Amino acid sequence: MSVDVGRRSWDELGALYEATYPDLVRLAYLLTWDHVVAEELAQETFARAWRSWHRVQSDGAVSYLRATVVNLARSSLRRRLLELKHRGEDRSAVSGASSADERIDLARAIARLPPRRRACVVLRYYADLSEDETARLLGVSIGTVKSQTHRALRSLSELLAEDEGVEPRSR
Amino acid sequence: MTSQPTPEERLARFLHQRASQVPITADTLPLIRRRVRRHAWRRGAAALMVVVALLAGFIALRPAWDEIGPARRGAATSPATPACNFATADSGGHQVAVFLGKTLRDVGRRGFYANGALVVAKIGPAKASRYSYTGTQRPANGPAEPTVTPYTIRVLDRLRGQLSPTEAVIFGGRVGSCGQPVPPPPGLMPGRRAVLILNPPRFPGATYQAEIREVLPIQDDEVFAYRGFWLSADIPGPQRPGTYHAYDPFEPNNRPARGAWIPLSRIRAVTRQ
Repeated sequence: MSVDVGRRSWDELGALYEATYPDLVRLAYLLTWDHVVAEELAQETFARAWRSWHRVQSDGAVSYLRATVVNLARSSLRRRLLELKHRGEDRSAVSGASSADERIDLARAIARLPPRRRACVVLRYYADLSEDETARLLGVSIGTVKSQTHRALRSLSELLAEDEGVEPRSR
Repeated sequence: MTSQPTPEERLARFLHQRASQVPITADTLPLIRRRVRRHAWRRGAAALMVVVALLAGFIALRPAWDEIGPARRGAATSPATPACNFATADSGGHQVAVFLGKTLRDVGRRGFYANGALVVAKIGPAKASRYSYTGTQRPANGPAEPTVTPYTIRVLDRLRGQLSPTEAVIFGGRVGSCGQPVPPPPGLMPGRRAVLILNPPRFPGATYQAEIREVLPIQDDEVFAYRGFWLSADIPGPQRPGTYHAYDPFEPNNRPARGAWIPLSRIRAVTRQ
């Protein structure tokens, strides 16, 4: 009986993986600005989802996975900042943007946003979540989402105004 | 004429463009399954470590618990809790029980009281008011009278020859079952000395839970009278069953006199003089 349940869950996890893995990698990438870390986080997300499978099923799989990605990305950024601090390197290296590139572009500006603001921006403008959904996913109030998004946009606005082309820089 | 995109629209477009360029490795599901199994192993190992740590903590702290906790077997922990079934009736001698967690705390190291060691003790004042046991049959009129008189014993430190600061309580007499107390052994009076013969502990490592098998009341100078040796509480070696170690309390450094093994029968003869 338990084997059947396990087999069914594996199958369900596989189906969920097929449906959501690329999106989760992209979301993780926008949160961490590092595609290797993004894949790592996405895989870890599924591993954790397996561990809390009942919650995945009760909370809604996609929102659970997204929330896990956001939390893991935040932890990852914190860990990387700590490593850089111990190594005495520049915190901007966490952004993932090339330090050789002196031109501060939009990508680097986004990457330099604090984790929560970056999460708000990505969830609102990439994942197209509403303020309410974003607040629920991040576990904060709607007011916090509004203020964090507003501040993020304000800090990006100058760059957005200057950089009309918004050309993505290839990595 | 097309309208200028808003900053939010430009930001969203930029994010989608960047996201669309992310290379995604195909079919990483096996990696995820491997990761799941690794998580399971880690959780299992962590749970095992917790269990081992708890077990180690329990083993390490158990003697301390024995000291502060009630006697494990039979001893009265309060006047409302009668003492009963302290010892087997067929083991001979006067059967007494003792709060051994206190008795043995400061006297010897761990493992010291295994295999029926001897302990020289001094009988302290009775504490009938604290530890009296009235049995199950109360007189028809008047308050219940104590039928078992508890005494404190102060175990003599084998190395320093001094009274241990800790006291224990022994209940004079054999208590075969609840309500059937026996008067205390003759000679077991406050201020007198006694040799306590300890039963082996109930389980390995439970040296603080040993119980007194026999009490031999002795005069104050009787122990000294035996060749000037004190009886020590050394463990009789397995190759020498029934023998006990003795040492001279007046020897410099108070070290046990090596090799001074005394047969138990001779000790009894001496102490019963």
